[in-house]
Amino acid sequence: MVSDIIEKFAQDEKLNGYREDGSKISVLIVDDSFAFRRLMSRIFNLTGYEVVEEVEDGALATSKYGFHRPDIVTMDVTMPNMDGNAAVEEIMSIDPNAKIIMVTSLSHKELVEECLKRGVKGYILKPITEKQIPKILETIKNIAIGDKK
Amino acid sequence: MNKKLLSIFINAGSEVLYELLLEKAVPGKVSVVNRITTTQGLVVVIGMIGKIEGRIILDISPETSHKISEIILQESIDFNDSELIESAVSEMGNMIVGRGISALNEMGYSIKITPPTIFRGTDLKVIDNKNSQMLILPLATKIGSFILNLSVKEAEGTS
Repeated sequence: MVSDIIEKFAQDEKLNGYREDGSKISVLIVDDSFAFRRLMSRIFNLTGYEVVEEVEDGALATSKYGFHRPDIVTMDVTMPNMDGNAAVEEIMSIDPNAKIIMVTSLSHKELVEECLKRGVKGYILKPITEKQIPKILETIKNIAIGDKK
Repeated sequence: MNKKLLSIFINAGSEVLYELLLEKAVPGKVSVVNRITTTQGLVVVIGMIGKIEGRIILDISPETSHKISEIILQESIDFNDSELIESAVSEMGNMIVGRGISALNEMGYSIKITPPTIFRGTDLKVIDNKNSQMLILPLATKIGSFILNLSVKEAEGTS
């Protein structure tokens, strides 16, 4: 079962959602796909992260970021109302130290460079397969617990 | 039909299926038509706007939709959970089109995609006046067939 495999990552301190003091790393999931939010939420919950909220567009992401101030945000690009790029800009204006990772099907250089210029800390390409999960969790954890300026 | 554009989306579809299934999809007989009649039961339509315009239609059976949804979500899903299955299949459509338009953006074509629209039915007719011709490509996999209907061309006024 994939759940059993994912749950094992909860025991790995490089991958799990726990800090050294035992507190949980908080995550805000932003994606217009109900299915994708469910996948991400399940991976995080099984590995010890705290999903503070899941939202389906950039406008909601901006307001919920201000409310929760999560350690990390996973952000889709193509969404209704406000897309991921605009949401990144809004969130960075609220908190220049916000840690945002794009999780998207789009990978062209121009878009990646634009995201990095806006302060995005990482870029993950869909689909999220079982094989990729450890690497993704490691990346997310490293970014989340990195130095806060 | 612009073969270069079509091959980009055919490759994108094959790549995404390979990443999900860890096995190459086997392309079936390609046909070019003026009218599509969907046959399998679940249909995802994603449009493209910009220097390239057109659409991709994915035609999948309920059984294959259920199986690919379980693979995408990495969990068992109730066969009757249509909301979740439709969302997962839409997401797969987004992955294929997203990958295709990223390749086109690298070639200098600025394109945006429309959110996926889902239809259910085995006899939906699609007639495309603007692009006039559509390519049908069945991709056979271990979990069933994915029929890709492609209609893409350079927008008027672009070179």
